[in-house]
Amino acid sequence: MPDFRIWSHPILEFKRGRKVTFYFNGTPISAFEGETVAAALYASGIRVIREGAVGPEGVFCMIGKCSTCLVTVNGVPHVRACREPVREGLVVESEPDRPPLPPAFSDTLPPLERVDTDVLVIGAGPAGLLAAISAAEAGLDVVLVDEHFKAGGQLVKQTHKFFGSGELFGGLRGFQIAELLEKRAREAGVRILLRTVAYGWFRGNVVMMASPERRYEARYKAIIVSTGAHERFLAFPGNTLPGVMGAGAAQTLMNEYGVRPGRRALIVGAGNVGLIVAYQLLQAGVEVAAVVEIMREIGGWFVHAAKLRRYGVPILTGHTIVEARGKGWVEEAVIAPVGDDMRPLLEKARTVKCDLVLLAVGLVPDSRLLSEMGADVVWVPELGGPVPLRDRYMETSIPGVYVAGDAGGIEEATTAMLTGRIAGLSAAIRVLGPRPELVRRREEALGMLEECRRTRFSERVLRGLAKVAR
Amino acid sequence: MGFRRTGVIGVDELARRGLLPPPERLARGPAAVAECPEEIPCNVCESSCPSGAISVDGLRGMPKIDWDRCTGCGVCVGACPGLAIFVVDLSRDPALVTIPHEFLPRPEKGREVSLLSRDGRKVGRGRVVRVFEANKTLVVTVEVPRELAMEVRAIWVD
Repeated sequence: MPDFRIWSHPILEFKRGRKVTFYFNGTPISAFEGETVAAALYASGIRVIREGAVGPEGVFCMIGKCSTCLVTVNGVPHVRACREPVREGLVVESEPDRPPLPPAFSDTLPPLERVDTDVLVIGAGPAGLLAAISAAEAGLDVVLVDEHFKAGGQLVKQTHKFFGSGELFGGLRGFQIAELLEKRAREAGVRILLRTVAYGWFRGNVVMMASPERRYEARYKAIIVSTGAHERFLAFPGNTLPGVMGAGAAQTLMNEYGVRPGRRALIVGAGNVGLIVAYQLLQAGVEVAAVVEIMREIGGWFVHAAKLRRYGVPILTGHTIVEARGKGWVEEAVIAPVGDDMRPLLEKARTVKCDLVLLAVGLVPDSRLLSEMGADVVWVPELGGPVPLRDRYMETSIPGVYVAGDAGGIEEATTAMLTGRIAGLSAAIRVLGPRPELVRRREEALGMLEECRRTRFSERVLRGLAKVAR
Repeated sequence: MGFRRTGVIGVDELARRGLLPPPERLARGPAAVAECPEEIPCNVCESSCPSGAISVDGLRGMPKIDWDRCTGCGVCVGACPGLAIFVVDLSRDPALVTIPHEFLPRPEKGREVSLLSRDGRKVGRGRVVRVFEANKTLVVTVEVPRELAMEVRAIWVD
């Protein structure tokens, strides 16, 4: 069985746990504790998760946001392989047909714990961590939950050094910022519940949550929703082939789990995500055939593009993907320049050999929990999709309900941290009253946020923000 | 602004933006060159510089290097999150260029490596004369033919 694990890396050291064996459709798979089922399958060269209606299907997002990796684990259907830690003897099966949900099994439910807290924060990415830290440092009781078994959100897979000033962790690598923030949150007394899904909001300010060991009925005085975003899909023939995935998914595989997502990649989209992931693929020993970008200009910062060009990676502006082809998984992609109407000029199409097509074509805010709570949510293209109305202190249309980070509109990690800090301080002000120190710190964070929103990318974001101001 | 289409910036474009040291300064000894033509909200170079030679307008702006203060030490090369700062020394023959490097295998001192231009062409070979590490970024000084000192911006260990 091939081994796609990365054993030496210029930036990362992968700490692998005990070796275990699990079973996928009857085949024994070797894995290491700390890996997810999806990562371990990819590490063994297995990319077909199921035979779907139009052929074999692989994994798209790798971070628990989509449903491409649903499998049956030890008889329990619809488990996300990308969130399920490997264990000795685990029996994992494909779901070619959709198995019915099991009947209610109330006698086997894990015990229920009632949680009463000042501030409940949903999502432990950069925004949620900063929100939790800010509220806890103001003296409040804070509970922070995340569905992953690690805190840090997508920071954990960011291996590049961040822009910014020292105060905003500039110069540190994303995964280092995640470690630092988690430590600070724990020191501030934040209770962090990992592998815990907030699955529903109920009248009376109750959020129901569940981990494999326990269920929680959580009540709060203020709640901050920092649930992040998911990667945008793109329509083209062959887009369901294994090997077509989000650029972030490839990043999760290689930087979080130390697994090469493939051998040769085509990246679609030259925004910051596409450019950064392309560079990180090179660091992981994956060839990058090209980055195609439908617009006439590179979308991301020039310095990220320059990093890539120096190692000979072509960035083809005014180009798009037409089709992905292959038997069982991606073997080649067809790309073409686009005309002024943005349609591909098929007479100029050419094929690129690759076993990976990584989509870096934008993100969509994950604001579903806010919708469920009844917050006013509107569609704002400039912010990536459905986002809640909010005031400048990040309070949504429901008093005491705040939004932070990408769930409120797609920006980047630094602004996520700042909106998190603002939301956390707002929650503290709601619970404790407008203490001058809290108000002063919130104004300071608002000033920094304003400064960070004066870049070449900000104009669009500011246009979007104007539409959701309340 | 061709560099936003190509990802490659020309020397003339850098000069127009005041990002290049004057030739007489380059002839005198090592000087930092920040190939950072956009106003990124970042001032890591400013706070990293031990000589106080770099200033960024607030959090946002292009780095402005005071080349009379710059000693060409290379600390900013390892600190810059955009891997966009280099040190060029034209006081010697061959010239020396200091480059950030984040790939395996690690280039060792004395080793010959390929010299790459801004668009990834192999334009020559040069010997590594110094390597130090700054939070996993290797800062590598390599000998470069004088006429290529403003071209070579990466190395590859092959």
